Amino acid sequence: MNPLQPLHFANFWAAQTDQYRVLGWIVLLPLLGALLNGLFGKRFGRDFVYAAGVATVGASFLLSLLAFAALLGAEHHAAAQLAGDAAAGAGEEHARPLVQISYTVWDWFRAPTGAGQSAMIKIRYVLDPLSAVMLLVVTGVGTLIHVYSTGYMAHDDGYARYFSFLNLFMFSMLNLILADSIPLLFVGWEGVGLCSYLLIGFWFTNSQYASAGRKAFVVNRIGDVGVILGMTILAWKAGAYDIGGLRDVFAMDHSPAVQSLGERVQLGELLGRMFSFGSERVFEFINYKLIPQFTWGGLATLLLFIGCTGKSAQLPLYVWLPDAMAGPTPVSALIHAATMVTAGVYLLCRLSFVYVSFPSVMAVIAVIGAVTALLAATIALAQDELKKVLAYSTVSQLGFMFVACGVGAFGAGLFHVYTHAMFKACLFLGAGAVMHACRDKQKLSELGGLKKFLPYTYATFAIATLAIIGTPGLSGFFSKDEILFRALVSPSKVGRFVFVTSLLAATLTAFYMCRLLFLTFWGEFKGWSLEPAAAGAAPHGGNAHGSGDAHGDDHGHGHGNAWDPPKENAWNITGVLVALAGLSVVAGYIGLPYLFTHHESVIAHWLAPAVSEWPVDHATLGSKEALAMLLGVAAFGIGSGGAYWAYVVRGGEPVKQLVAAGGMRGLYRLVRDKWRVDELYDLVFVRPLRLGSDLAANLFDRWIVDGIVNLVGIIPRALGAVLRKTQTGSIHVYGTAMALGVLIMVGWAVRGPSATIGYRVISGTRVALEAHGGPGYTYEWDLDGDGAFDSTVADQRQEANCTPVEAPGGRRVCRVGLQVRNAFGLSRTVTRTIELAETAPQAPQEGSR
Amino acid sequence: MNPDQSTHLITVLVLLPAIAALFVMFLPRQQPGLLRLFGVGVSLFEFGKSLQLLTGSDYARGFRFVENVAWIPSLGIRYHVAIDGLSLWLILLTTFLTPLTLYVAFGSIHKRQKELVAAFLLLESAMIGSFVALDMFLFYVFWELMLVPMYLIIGVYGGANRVYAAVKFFVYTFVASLFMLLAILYMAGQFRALDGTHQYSFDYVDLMRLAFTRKTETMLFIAFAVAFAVKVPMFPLHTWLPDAHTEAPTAGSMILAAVLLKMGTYGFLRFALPFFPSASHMLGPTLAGLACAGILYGAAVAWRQRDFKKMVAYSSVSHLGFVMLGIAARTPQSISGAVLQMVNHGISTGALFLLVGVIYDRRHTRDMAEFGGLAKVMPAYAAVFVIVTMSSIGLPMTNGFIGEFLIITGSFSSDLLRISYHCVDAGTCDQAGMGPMYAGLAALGVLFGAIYMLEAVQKVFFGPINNPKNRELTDLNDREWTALVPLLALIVFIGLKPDYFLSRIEPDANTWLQQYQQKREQTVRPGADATYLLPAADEPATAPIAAPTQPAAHAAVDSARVRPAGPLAMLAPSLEGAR
Amino acid sequence: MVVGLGHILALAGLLFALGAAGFLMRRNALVVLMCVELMLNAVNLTLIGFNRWQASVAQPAADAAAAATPMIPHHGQVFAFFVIAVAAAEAAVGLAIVLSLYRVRKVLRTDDANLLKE
Repeated sequence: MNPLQPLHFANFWAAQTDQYRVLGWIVLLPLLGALLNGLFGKRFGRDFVYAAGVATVGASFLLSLLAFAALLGAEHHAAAQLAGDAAAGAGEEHARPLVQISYTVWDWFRAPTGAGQSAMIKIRYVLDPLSAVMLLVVTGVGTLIHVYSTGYMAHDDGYARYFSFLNLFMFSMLNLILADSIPLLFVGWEGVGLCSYLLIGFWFTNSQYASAGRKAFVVNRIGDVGVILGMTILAWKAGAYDIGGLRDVFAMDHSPAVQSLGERVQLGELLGRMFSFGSERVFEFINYKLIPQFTWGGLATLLLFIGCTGKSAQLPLYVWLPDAMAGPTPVSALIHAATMVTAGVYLLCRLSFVYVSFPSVMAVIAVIGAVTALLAATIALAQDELKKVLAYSTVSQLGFMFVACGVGAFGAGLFHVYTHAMFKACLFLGAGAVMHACRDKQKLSELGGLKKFLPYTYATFAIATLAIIGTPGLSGFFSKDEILFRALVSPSKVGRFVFVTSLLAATLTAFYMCRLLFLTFWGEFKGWSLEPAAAGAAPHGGNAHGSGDAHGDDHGHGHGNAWDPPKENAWNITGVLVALAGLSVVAGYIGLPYLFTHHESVIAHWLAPAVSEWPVDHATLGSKEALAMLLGVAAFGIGSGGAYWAYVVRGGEPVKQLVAAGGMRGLYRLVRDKWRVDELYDLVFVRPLRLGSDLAANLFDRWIVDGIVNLVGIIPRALGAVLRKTQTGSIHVYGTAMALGVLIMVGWAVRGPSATIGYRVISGTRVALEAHGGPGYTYEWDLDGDGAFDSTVADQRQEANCTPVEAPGGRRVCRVGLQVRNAFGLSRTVTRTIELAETAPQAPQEGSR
Repeated sequence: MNPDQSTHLITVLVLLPAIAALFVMFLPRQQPGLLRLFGVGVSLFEFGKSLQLLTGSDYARGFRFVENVAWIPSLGIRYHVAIDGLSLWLILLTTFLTPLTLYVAFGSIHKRQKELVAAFLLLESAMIGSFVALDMFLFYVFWELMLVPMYLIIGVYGGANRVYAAVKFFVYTFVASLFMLLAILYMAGQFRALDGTHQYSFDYVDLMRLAFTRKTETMLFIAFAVAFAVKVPMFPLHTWLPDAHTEAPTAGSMILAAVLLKMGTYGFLRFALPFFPSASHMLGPTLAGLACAGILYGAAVAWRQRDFKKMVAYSSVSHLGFVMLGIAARTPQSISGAVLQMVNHGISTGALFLLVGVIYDRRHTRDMAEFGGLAKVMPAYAAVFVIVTMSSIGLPMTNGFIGEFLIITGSFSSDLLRISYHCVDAGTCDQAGMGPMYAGLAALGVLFGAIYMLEAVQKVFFGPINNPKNRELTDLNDREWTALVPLLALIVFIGLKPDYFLSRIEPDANTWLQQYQQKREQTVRPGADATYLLPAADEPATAPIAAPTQPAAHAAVDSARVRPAGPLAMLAPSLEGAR
Repeated sequence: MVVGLGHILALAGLLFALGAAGFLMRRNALVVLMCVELMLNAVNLTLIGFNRWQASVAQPAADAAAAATPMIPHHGQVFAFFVIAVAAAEAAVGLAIVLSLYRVRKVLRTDDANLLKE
């Protein structure tokens, strides 16, 4: 290129975009922290653990900024190059290219891609616009939450374990984000699952918590099975595990791989053939009614999406997330709100170029997202625990993100991931601050009026709430508005339904979040009476959430006397809250809607090359966008207004009436019991599985499989029992037996030999002969049928040309003779007539005496 | 290809432990210290020696370190040993685990240590022998020789019900392997009847040249398969395993699970499939189906066990189902995955048994209900256990994932796992690849693995400490650490750099597949309804294969020649004129 | 009259039959032993008889090499010696057993001597 071009700093970065070590360090540092804390944490004490935990993650955040700058540089460089080419008349204006920065650690292993081929899977990290956004969110929020944790876990003995797990989580999450191949992404995918399992069950002495962790892991594993199979199908058909390779394949027009992805899965046909037993009607039924029709691509994308529903807590696999609140609150904030649960959305965005070509699957995603959003919102209406409400709100918000992906607006989905990370983290940490200050009380019925005790917490919590319910001007407003708009204008056939459902969900969101805010911070404080008189009734007694002895002794906060009012927390807690609150105010401004700015928003422009979308022409759809925004604001107004009226103006009266009213009581109960989904799953899946396994273990395996074995063992025993009766021990019996045996042998010997001829015609007159004899026999053959035994070879087996003679009926036959002599010189002679077939050789025939 | 044969490396590896075992008998029983030192020392030296096997084998193909001399010439029995990529890592696994298990054994077993050392060393010889033997007779000798020390280890050092378990183990596997013995003798006789030299031969290369009628081949394959399937153990021939494991001492369970079970899968890979390609191809889907059944059934049964060791034993059934699926799928990656998974299972399950032994030594019970909340009193132990658990349920970055992933993807894309349906007549069938279905079932096994392992972990380690007996338990001691650290290191190392292992397996997996396919094509040609010899590698293809023009003639000639003479006659199914 | 192979075999057969019958029917351990001896001697007779017969039918060798060493077969006699030796040993062992049996059980009836059963 042009040497006279002014040296831009971008060149410096662009020079080393293929082996950019910083990426390696970003991933490695948290792992180092985890190892340090895990191995030596106990020995070196709190300060060391805090330092190591925060420093490693903070460092990898700074390095992420550095890498981001490098990416910007590379972008700039590429853009300059393009401009240069264009100026040099290289051709028409190009689309903005996809710029990547990568670092290859080493070859991992070679895996099959379709029959006969295989591809090497590398441990390789890639930074592109998409992963850059996630990287900054995760490391940034992660650092903040690590800082927060130093305050939150200040009274917990498990601090070393805690920080080691948290760092390990960061390591896995970074693997997930920066992975360049699906298997490597899967490493992070399961890694975060493991850390989630460990951290949910952090206070493992409480069996409920341990079970919650296990539930999370197992439910996620269901999804992981989908991911394994999904990526297998993709690799099998498209021939690549790495995302770059897949992207190339899908970029090609009519690439054979993409076409083979369009082939039908003959599963139904196969099963039909196997189980229809010839009946066409059964076959038709199985093939076309019973088994749904899939293309391989559709199946793959659907399986991958199942994985996403597991990780991102969507129907039908969302049930683990609410239970996951058993973990420490910072964990809920980091893993179960800001980062891990958005992995599903991230995976969809990563593979957006695959998904856009499977509209039916996209429709499924959109519908599931919308229904989840609504369902979770309804459940959140009636929950009585701070964290439970937030958990269901997370599920609901994730639903919004999937709606975005489902209507082909992956960018909007990721934008919501980004804003949601800010305000939901802020909300959870606020909840944590409340619990920390109120001795782990989190029942709304026991809180209230905290406004005056916890001013910072209140302020930040309020801001975050306003953000999530879509107050115009705050971050949540922009992202949610974009999603609603794209749903409204999407070409998808479910677009309208999805739009309406999400709108409802948004309204409910506004309602329950305001309810949460009012019941927690407004009104009167009901935690414990503040007079010394009632000291006895005070402290840990009313531990909410059965958080139980474990939480009690592991996490007993050394606050002053029982009747002290709740105090605001230390700087490292409130500071983080303030920071996150500020972020959730400003975060939205990188995604200003086209309606205002009349040009593509920053984030959309940034993501454009990395994320494929269904195109939408803002310019012509201005009215629709305005409509969507209007309805969104309406939803915000109705929801929050309704909550204000119900809980502040009427002091919760309407709800009480509602519950009291006969008709609605059942419904209310149902909602409060989370629609009894857990019970349903337990009935439909868990119990039958357990029953079947019980039968297999205690009935089938022990009595049938092993029973047969022992039965076989009985046979020789019975035989022995019979035979030993013959062993009388009397010489005379033995002697008689011996004599009889001798007689029999002699008799057999002098009885003379038996002779039989077996033959097979090979071809023409060529015959293979065989005498079936016994030990000590000698054989003489008469092959030419002249009655003289004159065969040169006196062998048991002969192969010779016999001399054919005419037999009645015009058949040609051979006559062969055989003389057998046994050891006693006794002999026997047989002849055999061989039918000479002119045609192919015959089946073996019976010899005659 | 065969670096420096003068060292007789394999012979040394095979004989050294046996001779040492003999020598142990002359050591004074009064000095257990000396005994232990000797046992561990010898097996460690053996391990160091076996590392030399790696020298020749970077990306090399075919058999290496070959040694081939006559042993019993009159019967054509030879001492023919060699290694290739399929056996390399299994041998190293054996030599790696033997000192470890011996070391562990000394921690918990204090009676008759002299015989213990001798038994373990003899066992090591037998195991290595069966991995390197390329003469069927030699293989059978080692194969049966393995039973004796194991029988003693279970029957002498085992638990309360040890005699029943030992006898069951012995009889079960012994009876099954008799089928294989018959098949081997029949094949040797066939070779004698067909080959110009009219000599018996048990040599792998010679017997590989035998091509049978479909019926005979199927019978022979089943005979081999039964012997190996019992050893694996494949569902439904697995019931000896839980008893043997529960009664065996910790070290015995370790070596049993880690190496002895691999004999079965290795046997399938080395002998049963290559000898009988058509039959194994025909029965391939059945084999894979049984494997998947084993995966799910083993997991389900393991889930409901109360006895810790039984749980691990059934999990072995599940894991080896994966291995068998990989072998039945017959793709290069699924085979390399299967071999790697054998090693993985050896490490992970060995470690699991070791860990179970840790609490058994402390509490003398294996009933999981007896425990609970151990993570509080034994944090290090709990941490190690969780790591091993994760490797056992195939979490990425541990060894388990690589094997399972390769097997699942490999069997998914296998085009040999086909079933025929909707047959108009034998000739024209619609065929359908079953790979995806099997892969799907196997993937479900990944899920079930998580279910039962995590439930066990929770039962034992989490929750409050209800049982006062558990309050005073001590954490891992130095001996246990010493034994565990190498295992943990390997778990992580294989997970991070599996290519170091796979790159030494894959070339031979490819060769294996080529030979398999070639022999299959040669034996499924039309009109091959007879037993005959394929041309040896060096001689050119002769009529039976080259000229399918007049198959009938060849068929007849062959069938007229096949009757073996002498004691083997009664084994030969009648092909022509009958009695 | 000349004694031929037939006579010898007949006598041997008779002796053998006697021995066998006695072995099977008599209960006295000593008698049983003697019957065994009888059978063995019958066998000796046949061996020697056959040997003699073989010598009588053997043709003098034609060529000088064979004539240098005229073939006088004596395998039969050698075997007879073997049998005698074995018989002696057998008798010794047998009598010893019978004695010890008598010491233990104070009987000589063989059908009481079935301790080894079970």
